[in-house]
Amino acid sequence: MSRDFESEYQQLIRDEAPDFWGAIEAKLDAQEKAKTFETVLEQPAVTAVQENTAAATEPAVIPFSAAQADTPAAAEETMLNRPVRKKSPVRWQLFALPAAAVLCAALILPVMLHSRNAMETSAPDMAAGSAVPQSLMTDGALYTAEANFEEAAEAATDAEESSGERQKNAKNSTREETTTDGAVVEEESVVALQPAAGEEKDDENAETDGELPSSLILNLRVSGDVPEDFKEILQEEYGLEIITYDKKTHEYSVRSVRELNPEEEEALEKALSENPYVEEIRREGKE
Amino acid sequence: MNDERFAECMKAMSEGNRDALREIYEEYHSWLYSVVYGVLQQKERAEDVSADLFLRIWNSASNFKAGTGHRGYLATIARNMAIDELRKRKREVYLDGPDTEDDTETDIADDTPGPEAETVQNLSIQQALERLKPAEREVVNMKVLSEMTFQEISDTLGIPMGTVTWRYQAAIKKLRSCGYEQGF
Repeated sequence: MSRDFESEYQQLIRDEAPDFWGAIEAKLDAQEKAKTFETVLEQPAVTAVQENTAAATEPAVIPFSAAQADTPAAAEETMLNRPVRKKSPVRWQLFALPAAAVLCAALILPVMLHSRNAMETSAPDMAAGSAVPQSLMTDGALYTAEANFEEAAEAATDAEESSGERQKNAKNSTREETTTDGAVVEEESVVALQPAAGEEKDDENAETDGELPSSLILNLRVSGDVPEDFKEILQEEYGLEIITYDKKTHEYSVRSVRELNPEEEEALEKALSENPYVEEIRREGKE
Repeated sequence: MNDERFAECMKAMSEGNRDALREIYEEYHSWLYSVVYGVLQQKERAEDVSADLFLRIWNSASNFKAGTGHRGYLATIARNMAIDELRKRKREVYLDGPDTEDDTETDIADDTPGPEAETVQNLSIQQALERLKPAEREVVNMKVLSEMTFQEISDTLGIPMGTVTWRYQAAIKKLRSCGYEQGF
């Protein structure tokens, strides 16, 4: 007797096969629930907006009344039919963006413009227009930058004019004195003009070297009828600083405001000796 | 169920009709279970994988192309899912600890005539299967129930094809001694 193993074995397994339809249905239900949950999660904001819009346009609110609530079922139905007014988080989000924009415009932009103007004012040589891209500038910012640039240009022009006038005045005074008093007076005026520059140089040397320059100290005995502005004459025309003045002996102790070379010292003594009010000149030395 | 009816059921399933899935289930669940069981050889796992199999058929209903032979289509899905489950189980077993059993050496060494050499004509199919070694039964299940080729069995189990054929021949030898001459 021949037996078919394949057919018998397959029949055995199929007879023993369990009924798992319940497991299939359970998995199908779980899958559909998961899909529904994912769909709800994907559209929360849109759903909220639509519900709010419907609530605003369709006031289909069924009022709750005691007459309808005679039976628990009626009351429950009324409660269920009542449109749910959700506290949507969309409302503050709608206002948050414009409020942030207003705050930005009102606070941050003026601060930025102010700081930018301060930078441009502190550095007028910098090109105001090139410091900030034109595309980022508002009309007000552009106007401010141009105004600062114009102010800086005017200030520079004024400075050039004033320095030019000073030089002209100095030259004119030199020429006038040259024409009136001769060559010697011209040298004195040059000496008198130099203290300003000399002072600056002395200050620079003092700052850099830490030593005071040595100046010439002289004792001048003058006549008793010197003019009242003789001190100013000594300071301005001869570049001398008065240390002491003895009224009894009419002696001035003066020193040069800057260091003089031997030739300048001789020229200074010569100029002083030619002054009609100076009777005697004594060199005390250098300090 | 012919191909046309199966295609109609698949179309209905794509539209959400569970009755169509129920019809396919009634027709093929035992056969598909046997295919899955042939690979896994564990009833609980075979039941779980079979349930997942019908869930996959439900989900892929909209992508089904009619005229391709629905039995082959179902058998391929069942086999692939069972093989995936088997490989996953093997990884878990390997993580628990390496398998020290060497079936090939056991097969070659166990060439002496045993009780299976005796001709027992009156054994039932269950008694005949109990005479097979687990490794032999594994190959027989895949070959007979799951209708897999030797190459597929070799690839699935990760053993040489010669070993597969060796085990299968040894199983046939024992089954023939039990009176089974056909169906191998």
